Amino acid sequence: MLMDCAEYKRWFSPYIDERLEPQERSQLEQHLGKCAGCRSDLASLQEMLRSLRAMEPPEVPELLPGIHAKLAREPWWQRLARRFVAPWPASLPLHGAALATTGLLVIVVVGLPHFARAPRASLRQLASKPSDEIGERFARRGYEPYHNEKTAAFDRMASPASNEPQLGFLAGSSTVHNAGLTMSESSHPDLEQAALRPLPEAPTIPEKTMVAGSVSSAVNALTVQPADATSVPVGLPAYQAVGGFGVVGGAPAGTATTCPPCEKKRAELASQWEEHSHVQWRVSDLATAAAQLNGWAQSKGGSVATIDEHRLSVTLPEAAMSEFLTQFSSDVSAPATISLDAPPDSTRWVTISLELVPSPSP
Amino acid sequence: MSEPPVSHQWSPTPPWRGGTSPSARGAESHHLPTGTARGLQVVGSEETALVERAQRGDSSAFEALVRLHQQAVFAVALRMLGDQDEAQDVAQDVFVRAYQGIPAFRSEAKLSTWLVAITINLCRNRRRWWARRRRLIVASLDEPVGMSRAGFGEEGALGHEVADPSPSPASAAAQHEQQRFVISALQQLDEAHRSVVVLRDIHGYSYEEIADMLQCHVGTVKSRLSRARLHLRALLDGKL
Repeated sequence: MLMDCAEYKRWFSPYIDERLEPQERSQLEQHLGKCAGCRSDLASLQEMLRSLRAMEPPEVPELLPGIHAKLAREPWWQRLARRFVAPWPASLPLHGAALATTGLLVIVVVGLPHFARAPRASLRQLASKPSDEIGERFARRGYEPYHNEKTAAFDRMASPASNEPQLGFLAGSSTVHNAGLTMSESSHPDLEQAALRPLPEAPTIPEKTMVAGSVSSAVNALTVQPADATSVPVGLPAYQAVGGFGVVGGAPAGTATTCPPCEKKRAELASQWEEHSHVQWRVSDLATAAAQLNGWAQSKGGSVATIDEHRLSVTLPEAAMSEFLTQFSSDVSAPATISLDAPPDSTRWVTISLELVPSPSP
Repeated sequence: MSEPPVSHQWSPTPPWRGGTSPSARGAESHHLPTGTARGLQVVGSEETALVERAQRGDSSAFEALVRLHQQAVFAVALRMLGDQDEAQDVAQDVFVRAYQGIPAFRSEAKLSTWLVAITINLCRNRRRWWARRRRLIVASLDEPVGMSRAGFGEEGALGHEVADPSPSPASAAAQHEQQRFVISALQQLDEAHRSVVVLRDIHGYSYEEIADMLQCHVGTVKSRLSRARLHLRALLDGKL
């Protein structure tokens, strides 16, 4: 193939960066051997690049004062969006905390991916609408800072001696809970010293939904390793809080939650449930099944949301969907492979609804 | 055999050439970002620890991260905008964004990539902002580079210096002049071309890193870089 110098010139740049295909490279080198013009052309380009690379770094002004000034001018709600609940143990990633619930309810930082109202399809696409494109690229899926308002310190909560397990469904997103827990400024805030103040226009989560025997037990619960579902007392379904979702503690079905925003969110998820089909999974023990699913989903980088103890919403990377359907579904009618409109892409996420159907053990 | 006429020829010592020997700066394919403080090579796990502390609200950890990355962020902004004050302002905005967004940042991802991506984004926004307000970014090799603002005096790109018309190559003033010359020429490239040249040839990021930062394919980086480099050379060449 005959190329002229103008065409070879376009190869200089990738050639310098060693990005040419082997045959292109040898073709160019052959040409360079014969063409002094291109040789010197290439040499001048290389010289320019060497000079660019040799540019001295500019003296950087001190940026911190300006940064602090700008942050200080943030609107209050934006500052709040960065507050965190509870001291996260260093060993646990921020987006997932596994709890063993043994009769204690602990608040978990949760988040919710933005569910797009997908058209009728057997699988919901998770379409997040990031406000910041850049952030989206680097963000953990399904994470948003969770805001929760407490109107009383932990130590004023109901004691664990009360045999009334509370169902606390906590879904966080700034649209659900606008409140924030303001912690003291130390880097490891002690819950007992938390400065609590009610925030304007923020729904209050009633005390009863948050129960801990004491601050220390609440904190200790956070440090416990992923729960072994069998260690949970019988009759108290325990779910791990993973990814962005959690049902904390449990209650027999039918127990009303005392959290209006939670109810609203749950109703929303439930209504989405009606819109879309879901797969069923026959299990003998709901708690074990949910815990197993949570563990598996987390290992795939996904997360599980509970609508109630029977209905879950599972978010997974696209690549894991087939495996999910094979392992966690009893539906023979469920598709063995997923066909989505776009080519498979490991950064895409799919949400599927799963119903746990208790069936008697064999 | 007769040789074809040479179309591009550098003069032996173009005024903008750096005084340092290129070989001292490393090989053709380099891995460390150039134009940054090379002494700050933070071990990956140390930075991850800092990031995680910052995510938990530890402001001293966040400040440490600022100090580690402000050189790179500012330098990219300066080369992209061609104005010291604007670059400083944008660099601060980058870290404000980072502060707000770090809770959602995957701590195993590279912080520098994320920060530079934000920087490129904010530089583009800043330019559009000026364009909307009819304030032109003056990019001329004959006069100091700066954002021409109604009512403001013209300011130089670096340290507000007056250009020395015949600098001695080894002096610091000459270095400044050279930088200013290059940065000035860079402003004449279009946004896409300028960003790939700044990131690759001044800062030394890889094609893959650049693709991440600019949210495009590696192939796009490759073709853009080729056109950008040739264009830049033509600009520098023509002005000599």
